[in-house]
Amino acid sequence: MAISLQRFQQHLLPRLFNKKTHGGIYPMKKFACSMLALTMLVTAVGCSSGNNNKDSDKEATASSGNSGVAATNGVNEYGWDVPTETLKFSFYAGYDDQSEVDKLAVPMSQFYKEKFNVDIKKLVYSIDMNEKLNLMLATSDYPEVITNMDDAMAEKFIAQGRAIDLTDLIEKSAPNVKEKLGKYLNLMKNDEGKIYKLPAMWGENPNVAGWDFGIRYDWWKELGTPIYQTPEEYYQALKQVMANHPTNAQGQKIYAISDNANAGTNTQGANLYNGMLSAYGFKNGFKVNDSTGEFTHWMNTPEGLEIAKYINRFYREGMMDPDFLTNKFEDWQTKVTNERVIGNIGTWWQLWVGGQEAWAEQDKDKYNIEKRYMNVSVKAPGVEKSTELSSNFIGNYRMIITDKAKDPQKIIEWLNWEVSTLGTMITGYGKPDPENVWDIKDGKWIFKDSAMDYANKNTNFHDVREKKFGAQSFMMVAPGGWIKDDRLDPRVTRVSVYDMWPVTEEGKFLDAGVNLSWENVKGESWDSTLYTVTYKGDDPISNTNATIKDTLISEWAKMITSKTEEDLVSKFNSAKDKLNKLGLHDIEKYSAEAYKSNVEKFNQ
Amino acid sequence: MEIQAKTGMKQTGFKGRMNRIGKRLYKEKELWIINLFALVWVGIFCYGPMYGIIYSFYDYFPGKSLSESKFVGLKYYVEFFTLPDVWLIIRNTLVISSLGLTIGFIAPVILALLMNELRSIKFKRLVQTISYLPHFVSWIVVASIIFTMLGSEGIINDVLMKMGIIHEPLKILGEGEYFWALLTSANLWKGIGFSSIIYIAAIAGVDQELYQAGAVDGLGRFGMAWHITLPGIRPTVLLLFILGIGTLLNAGFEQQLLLGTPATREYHEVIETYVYRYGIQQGRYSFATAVGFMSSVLGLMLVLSANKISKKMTGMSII
Repeated sequence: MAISLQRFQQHLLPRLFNKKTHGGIYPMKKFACSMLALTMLVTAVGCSSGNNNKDSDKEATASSGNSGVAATNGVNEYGWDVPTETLKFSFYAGYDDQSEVDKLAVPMSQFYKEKFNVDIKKLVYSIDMNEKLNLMLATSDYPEVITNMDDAMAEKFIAQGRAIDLTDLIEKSAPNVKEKLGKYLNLMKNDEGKIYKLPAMWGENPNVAGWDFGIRYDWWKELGTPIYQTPEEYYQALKQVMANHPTNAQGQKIYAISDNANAGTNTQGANLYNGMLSAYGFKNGFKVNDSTGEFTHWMNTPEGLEIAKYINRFYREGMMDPDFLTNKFEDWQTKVTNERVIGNIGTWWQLWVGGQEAWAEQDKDKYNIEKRYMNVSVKAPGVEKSTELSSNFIGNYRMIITDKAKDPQKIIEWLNWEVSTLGTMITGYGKPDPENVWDIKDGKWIFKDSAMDYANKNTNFHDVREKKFGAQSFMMVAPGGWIKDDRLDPRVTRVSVYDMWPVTEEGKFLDAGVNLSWENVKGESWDSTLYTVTYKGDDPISNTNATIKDTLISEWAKMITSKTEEDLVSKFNSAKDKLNKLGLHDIEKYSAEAYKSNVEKFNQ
Repeated sequence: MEIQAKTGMKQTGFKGRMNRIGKRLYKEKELWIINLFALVWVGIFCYGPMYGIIYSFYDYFPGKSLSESKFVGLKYYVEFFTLPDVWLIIRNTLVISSLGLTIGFIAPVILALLMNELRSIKFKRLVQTISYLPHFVSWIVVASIIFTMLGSEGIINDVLMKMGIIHEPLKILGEGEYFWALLTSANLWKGIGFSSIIYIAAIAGVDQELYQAGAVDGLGRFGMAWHITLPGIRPTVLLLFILGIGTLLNAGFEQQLLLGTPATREYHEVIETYVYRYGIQQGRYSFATAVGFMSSVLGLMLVLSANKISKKMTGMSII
């Protein structure tokens, strides 16, 4: 029902009143027509306020914020009110190699300078972001904008008076930000109702399969395609496949499951309990009693012990990769690619990268699409709803404009443009261009055919937009959620700044392999936004939380590698006592209170 | 006093002491001029930043000035000892350091003695160069090598299984019990060659006539090493040992971060890794400074004690 104001004025109105005098519409009908037009306009505006995604034409003109003070050269074809004086600022975006970032940013930087009269410098450092931000705070040496910082870090800057108050600026100059974030903007407010931070990478973007229980599709098919729906059925399926495929082509042992952690982190084993917790319906690791508002950490529940026993069984029966507690992602990936891992309790993309993507690259034309992993949603018996797919609208990262900003008004106007649908497309995909993966043709945002060639997506899609057109180089506050707009190419779905998925006219994925991988994924997500908890640096609870996290990972490793079930139970109970002594009950209370506070804020 | 000076009697008191220092400085002026640049450098870069110790007595948060921060006295010093894992961290630190100070200290001396026995100069140089090389390899590379070699399918497990010593792979990297031995071995492999340089240099300074005299007295190669070489380098060994004691609370940092896994946390977490993760990374500079300062003071006290003991027992000391 939503009709954009501009579309209505340009296309519909002339069609409705096509009989004209030299002055326009017949005078006799002028009043009636005006009234009708006014009514439709009001309706259109009213409808559009209830739908954030289809008022893109309107937002294009509003995107520059209309401060009404600075001189401009007028609104450009991308909806940005081009200033006469170059808008120049820099922003810090986290860990990376500055020379590499500078190199990639060139096309986008030139495009912004030429068409927008905006000169932005992206700063990155090869140092942990929190470490760098603390140093920046201590030395007062930071840029005008900081993005991708965690919430606690943003709060530190705010507490020290280093972030500027955005409340009035948003009200005055950022209608897109206000409209698109809607009620979620309330969660950015402090106790006085002021807004000092904005979410980065926000929006509704449920993962494809989230925490799932994957399996080698072709090997699973050999079993007669038994759809497993519970953890026990999954275990049985893996066991049967392992019996059928004890070793790979090189004679190396094949394991049912494994685990890994990214370099620089020691969280091996955590994927296993996180995946299991989703099958048991836990929310961010807690069992939530909706009627009492009570949060119970999984270690304090009988399900926690059940989960530990389940994983331990894989270990005791030799079904677990013996290196699962030491694998870095690359080690794990090598094992998956070498066909040594049957399944995975973890996130879908890891199997994707180590499995089908690597095999398609290796085998080229000989690649058989059934040699792949399938992701499956699993739910423990008696559990009402699993929580494998979550969507946190405000995400975990924040953006602030610091007190170093010379013209915060113009910066917020720029951010407002970035948040517009077209702004997000340009920020995330690079400039519209016949050579890029997308272009604007007759007002439609059309993807290039080669970009939709699934087998070559990395080179034809990701590399083109990111390496050739500098896409995402200047992303500060653009949403990471699904982009919905009438102008989007109908041949694709799930379009976000990260990715897009080509589909057929029937709505199925264009790539047959993708359909195989996801045919058993339920894809129902739950909104985890209000469960977001911020642990402020100066609050002793943040230390308690960090200690508990470290201890839990280490105790979990000990319990699941127990040699007997009795030993496991004893280790589980001892770990539970240890964690409770460290303050786990305080964390439960803190999380429950944070949730309550978020609900109150949200409903303001 | 004047009379004393004229009569050559020793001046006493502050003025007299200053006069003596002044005269000595003048006498050694060339040496002081040569060292001036180094002294200024030490002053600026080593002693200058020490004013930061004051932050450990304040509730400082990044972004606040010291004057805005609340004075909290020994709060962060006490906090360290109330940490839930404090004794585990101290235990790990002391065990890892002690292993380094014993095995890691003796091994380079032995290597230097062995290299001294090599007669072929070319071969000696080759061995020396090869033994130094690991020192220049970064810990990241070393960690990768260790993971590859010691994984369940690494060469070590492979060899042990083929020899029939074990029937299933050892989880060397995944079990805490092995961590101290693993870390000590890695430190040893990386540092043994480089640490032996100073002993090789000290051995080169031993009077050759002593060896000739030893040979006349019928000493064999082992006897010469034991009765001549070792006593000859004893001051160097003692000096380095006393200084090494000062680092007893510095058990390393990169090694633990790179080689540690969730399963080894109870064995790899040491003071420095804890301070890094819970102090530096979280911006709790007061806490980090307090623990760092405490470690330094304790290190200094250990050095002074070891020095005193050495002076009493052997007559040799560094001060």
